[in-house]
Amino acid sequence: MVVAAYRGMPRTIVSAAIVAGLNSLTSPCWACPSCPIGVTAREQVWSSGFAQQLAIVLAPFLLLSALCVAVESVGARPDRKP
Amino acid sequence: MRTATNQRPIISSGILLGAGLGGFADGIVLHQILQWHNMLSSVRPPDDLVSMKYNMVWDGLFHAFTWLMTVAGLVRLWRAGLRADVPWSTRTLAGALLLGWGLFNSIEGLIDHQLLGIHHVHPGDHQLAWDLGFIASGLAMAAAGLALIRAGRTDATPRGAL
Repeated sequence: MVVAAYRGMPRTIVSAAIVAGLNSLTSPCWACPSCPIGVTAREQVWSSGFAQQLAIVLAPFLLLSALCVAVESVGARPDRKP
Repeated sequence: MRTATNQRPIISSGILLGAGLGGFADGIVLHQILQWHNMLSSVRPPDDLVSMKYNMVWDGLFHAFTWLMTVAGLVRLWRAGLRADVPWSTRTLAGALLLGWGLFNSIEGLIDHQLLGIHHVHPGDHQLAWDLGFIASGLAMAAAGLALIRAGRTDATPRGAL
């Protein structure tokens, strides 16, 4: 069926497309899980003060979560009767 | 007709949702589409591929936390909708969303931009003006949110009664 889909196209174009597709499977890929640049970057994330940076990134979220807890609990009044 | 006067569950869920959605807006628009900054772009400028990917990891963690905030807000909102004492008020929820978004921008701006300087809104010329404008816009949103919440105090119809 695949061959049928390409019927009528010049054979050189079809073969070039197939070769290009195969090359994309075997050539170095910058977005793959094991590419050297990605591995290096992720290693640096863990090795360069990860806990401290994480605490900084988390801080606004934790503060707002604490505010929500306060809204729910602190100053809670018995429900007013209609 | 039943009346509901306990605004607190709607407010807290709106704050969580507003912070989560506001964080997504920040990450999607300023980090990814406009590419003005990344999470740690003043600590580690993304001027090579490794540094870009390094910042990409931290942007991903930022988005992970915004996602968690959004889910927490959604869960709280669902639970609030099941309660008979909670008013199902559009004004209260919209106000709380604005309050959450505005507070998130203000707190994030104060901590990350001003105190720690891990990134700036628009680095370069007039960097401080952009940072202060970001905080001011957050405070304005929070004030508008508070006004809406105050206006919603008169809404007293629970969800099931609408």
